[in-house]
Amino acid sequence: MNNQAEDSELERLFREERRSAEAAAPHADILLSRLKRRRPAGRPSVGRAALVLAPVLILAVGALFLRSRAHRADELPAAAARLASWKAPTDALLWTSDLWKRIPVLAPRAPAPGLSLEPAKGVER
Amino acid sequence: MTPAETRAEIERLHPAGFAWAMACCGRDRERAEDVLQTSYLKVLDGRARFAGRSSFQTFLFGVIRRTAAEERRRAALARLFPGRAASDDAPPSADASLSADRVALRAALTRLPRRQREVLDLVFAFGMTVQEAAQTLSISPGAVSVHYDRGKKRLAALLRRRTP
Repeated sequence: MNNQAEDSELERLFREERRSAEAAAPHADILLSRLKRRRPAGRPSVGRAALVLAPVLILAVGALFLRSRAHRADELPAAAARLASWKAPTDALLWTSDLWKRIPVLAPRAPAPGLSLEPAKGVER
Repeated sequence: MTPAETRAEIERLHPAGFAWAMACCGRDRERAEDVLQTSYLKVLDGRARFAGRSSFQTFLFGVIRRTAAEERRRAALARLFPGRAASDDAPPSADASLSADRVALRAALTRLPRRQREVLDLVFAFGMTVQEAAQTLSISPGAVSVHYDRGKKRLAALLRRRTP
């Protein structure tokens, strides 16, 4: 079967399907008159439900957000005070102001036994 | 377009619209009627507006196709929640009066991707051009050509396999 014959065979089959469907079509007037009866009794669609639920959800989320914010604001001063008075255990090591006020005194080193502190090299006696 | 003109156009295209709705709903008559009714409602109350960029038939067929897709999604959603709209799952009733080659065509069509099926229906059954089919399906003419070519080849092969 060549392409053209194949095409016309497919067309014939599709046209037959269309004709049989058209012949079985309900009358347009019947379908159109059913619209008025259907409109008020129509099942609530997902879109309509979403439209109703969306403002409720937004309000609920908003209320929760405001409540948690107010709660946080109450807690903030106490937390801030605790944070301000907190001192690290090694805080004392950070106090270095004494270093800048005086020269550190080094303890005199005791000479080892048998060693003289007098200079011996390059000194004429 | 006035409401009276729109209604007249709908009535004129009604048989073809029903045939297209049947094609979009897997030949399920009950579903096709529902889809067609919803489509008419959309057009008449202005939710789907005809802008005059294409023919009224192309516009109406596009509305029917989108409505059928919404209906399919709704049915799929209903399947997730048992007890809701059980009738949506009912398979289309078999027609005993069908000729063997039409039975073969229907069986072969179920094995094609939806897009290819839609393009072949629009071109062969409704005699649409590639441009018109593209407007109906809201895709590019190039994509329609590809779907048409692939779909036709596959359908012919499937039908050939069935014939001795």
